[in-house]
Amino acid sequence: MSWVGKSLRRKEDDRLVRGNGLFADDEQVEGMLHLYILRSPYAHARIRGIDTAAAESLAGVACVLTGADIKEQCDPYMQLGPEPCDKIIDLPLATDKAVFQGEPVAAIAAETAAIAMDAGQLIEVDYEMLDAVVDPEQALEDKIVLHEAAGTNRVWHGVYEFGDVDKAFKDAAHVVKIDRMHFHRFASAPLENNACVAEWTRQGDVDFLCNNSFIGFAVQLLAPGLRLPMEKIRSRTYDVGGSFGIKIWNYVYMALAALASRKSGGQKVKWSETRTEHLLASGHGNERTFLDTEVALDKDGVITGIRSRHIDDCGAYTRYEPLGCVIWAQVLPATYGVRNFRIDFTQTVTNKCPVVPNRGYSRMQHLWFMERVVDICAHELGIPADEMRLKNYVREFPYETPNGCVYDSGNYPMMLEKAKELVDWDEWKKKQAEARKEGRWLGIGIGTTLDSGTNNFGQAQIMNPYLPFSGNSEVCVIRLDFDGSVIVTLGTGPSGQGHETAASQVVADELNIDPSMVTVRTGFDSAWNTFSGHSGTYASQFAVTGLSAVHGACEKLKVEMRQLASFMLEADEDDLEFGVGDEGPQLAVKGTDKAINYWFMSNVVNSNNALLCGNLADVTLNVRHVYRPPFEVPDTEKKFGNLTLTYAAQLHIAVIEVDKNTCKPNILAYAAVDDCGNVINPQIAAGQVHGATAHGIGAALMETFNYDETGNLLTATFSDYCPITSMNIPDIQYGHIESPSPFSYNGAKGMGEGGGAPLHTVSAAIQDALHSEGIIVNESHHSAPRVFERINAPNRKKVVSVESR
Amino acid sequence: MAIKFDGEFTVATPREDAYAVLSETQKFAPLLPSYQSHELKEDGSAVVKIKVGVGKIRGTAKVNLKLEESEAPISARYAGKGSVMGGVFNLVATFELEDAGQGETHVKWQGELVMFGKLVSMAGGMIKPIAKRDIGRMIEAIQAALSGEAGVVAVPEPRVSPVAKLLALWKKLVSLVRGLVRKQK
Repeated sequence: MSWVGKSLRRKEDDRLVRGNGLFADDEQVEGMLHLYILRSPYAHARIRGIDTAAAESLAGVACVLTGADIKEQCDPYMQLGPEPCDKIIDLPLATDKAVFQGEPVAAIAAETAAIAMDAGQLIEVDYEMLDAVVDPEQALEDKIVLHEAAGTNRVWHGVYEFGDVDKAFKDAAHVVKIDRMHFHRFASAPLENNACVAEWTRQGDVDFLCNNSFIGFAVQLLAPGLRLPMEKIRSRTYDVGGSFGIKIWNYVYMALAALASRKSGGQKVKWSETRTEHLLASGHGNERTFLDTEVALDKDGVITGIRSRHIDDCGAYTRYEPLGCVIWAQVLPATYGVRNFRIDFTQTVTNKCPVVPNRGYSRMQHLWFMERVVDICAHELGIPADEMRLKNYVREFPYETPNGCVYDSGNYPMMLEKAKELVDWDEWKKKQAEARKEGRWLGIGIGTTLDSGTNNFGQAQIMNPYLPFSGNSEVCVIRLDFDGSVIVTLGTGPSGQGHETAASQVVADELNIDPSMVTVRTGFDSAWNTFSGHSGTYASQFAVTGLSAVHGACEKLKVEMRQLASFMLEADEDDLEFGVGDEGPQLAVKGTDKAINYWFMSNVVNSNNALLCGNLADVTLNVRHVYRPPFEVPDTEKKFGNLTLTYAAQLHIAVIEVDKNTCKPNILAYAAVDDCGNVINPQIAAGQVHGATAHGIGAALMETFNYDETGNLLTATFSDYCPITSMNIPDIQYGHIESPSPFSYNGAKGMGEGGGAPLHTVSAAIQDALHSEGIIVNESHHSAPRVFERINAPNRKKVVSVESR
Repeated sequence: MAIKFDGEFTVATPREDAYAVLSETQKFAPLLPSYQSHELKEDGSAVVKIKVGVGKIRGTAKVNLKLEESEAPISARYAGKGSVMGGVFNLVATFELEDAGQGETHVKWQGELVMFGKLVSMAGGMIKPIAKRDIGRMIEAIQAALSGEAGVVAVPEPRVSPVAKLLALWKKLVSLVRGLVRKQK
């Protein structure tokens, strides 16, 4: 019986639905202190002085940290980017200047959270308010510079040119010009905010119970920041209530809790973020503006070339950036066969919350851009949206993109066909015709997207050739335990993706046992999980990296089990077979009743090893495997190379009616088709698709970070930043196809981020609804007020023009 | 978040007397909305404490208020910088006085309140109407002060409607009954 491919109920859910999960904020220890972070009310201000005397004298306060402590005890976090990024000083607290609203300026540890908060109000910070810059184009003028040492807000610039762009435009039958498009700023709203409990022990070690989702990477930045060797830091997670990439960067706050613990004499210090803090200062998704886009098409509507200028706004600090300036190139042509590109890419800092790798990181923005290009061209040239896509889809796989990425497998026309069936396309086309006769604004939109998974970290060298990162890896340790069950530890540190279940399924198949006999350790502990510098849960890669590591470890374990069984049963290894006997899972000699079960094998190695008489010294039944995908370092000059191993795809169709009275877009029907290759657990995959769809619909219709001109975030509560809930999610007609990846051992492709498909789809449907009103949808957010503004100021003549020859 | 405000009114007070009230921080400070107390500093500025509240965010704001410019008896300009839990704000208010004849003064006022911080982020939608209401109260207080005996400033009492008074009484009663019930248990 094969467990892979079955909807095995998630092992994690038993404890989670019973309230037995353990999250960082659940930790309660006698004498534990609580941390409050005092944050800058200004988006840009010089800190002239801080008076902490009143706060420090408040009963119950253990210690107060200010920039002075930080300067004394910390080194700035390593910057990934080349000059001028390396001049940016990023510390756990602002020292001389705050550069975004919500930036920490002081931290107070006290006996209770309430005392810590009260003490925070007693701290007098003498700010000199400075002008803020929140518009990325204005930021590039450098009239207001955030990081004076860097001398400029422009943190990265590069030109991506592939093919013969000029020839494509010279030969074009049509050139469509799009003046400006804008992808808005939003993030994720994990159920659990950032949190940690830190203890700086008397031995000089730091212990964290936290919910960081990329510990392998975080520790590499945290340790030097705290001037500690890596082995001095122990980071643990247990259950994590969602991350979506946001929690990759919470180590900035973990450092504050650790420093407060040290200053208070080694007491444990808990920091638990409020929702407003999370929205204000944890991390946002990249905001991107696309300017001067020109699209070359042949007479049939096949796109032959694109040139454009992109400005990415990464907020106040570069942190994970400027990686986003390269990551998008994993999906350069999206799902289309365009061969000629010139993309001028610039990234700037602004006085807004720093960005982090939010779900669909950097590729989603570019995929939205490509989908808008295809969709706008279709409307302008009078080509039906489905035909336009069929004319342009990549059809042959593996497909090498113009920049050297290799799309492993796929069948986009089949996905389109399936989505049309699910949504009842023909029927809605008829209804649309009737609605239009009645003057109603009803649109049908298609969004095709990619979920590129398993990064080649070598792409970081395109951004900065001196970075010591390339390839990718994940680690699994597997042990046959005393009772014959199997214990698995992973480096992945999941945040709700069901790794315990999926890994159990793989192990169960490999070792011919029931998944209930497999225990996958919950969470992550750097003290006992072995891990690599790439370990973590991000970039849609577990099904490939995590499970390949599990698979490899199982293979190694089986080799040892065969050696042991061969010795014990006095049989040739080739004559052995895995199976289940009267005493459970076993290795038996084919055609005989000679067998040794798993319990006895473990017993012989661990407790009864005199039976081995000194033989098989290397057999431990406790093996480690590191999976490394077959990557090479890209050509950094040409920006050419394979940046990702697998390319899952999603195709969505939405039917949307824009209410003529309220301008509110209402989803009338929605279909989502997924292709993540061979599916390990269909229920988990379906859950990921539904989650990503909900997230994208929320972003398209409800969720946006709005700043005023002085850099105040105006949407820092769930009243204003309206996250999608089950009440707002439409019924989703879900389907999937399977085009197995030739590059993963199991044919699976990483998935879960979803590629922002609903953003593309909702934009396309609203475009279809409102094109006749002279409106070009050139923004990604469509709340009723935004649609109202658009309807009252038709932009087609201003935004788009077509030259036909 | 910036809120601009302006307006004008006429009071039956000679311009010199009106100017005397508006140009003296000691007299002007109590006219701020929800005034609690103030303390004069050596440089002539005042630290004024006022009650503030937006939804559940309630507390005392400290405003450093200073008469920045004045020209007797024509104009007075105040600048203030305040802080409250979750936010800070800058305030500028200018008063121009014109002689309206027959012992009356025409006052033109304008100003700007700029707010920053979590207060704006959490309660941005509610702040504008509340700020407008409070500015309205301040102007009423100024008018009252200017209309009164020269040099005597009447600190306005917070306005409480009869309905609100009844509601408060009812809440006290309910609380009393609940307390008694708890004691009996």
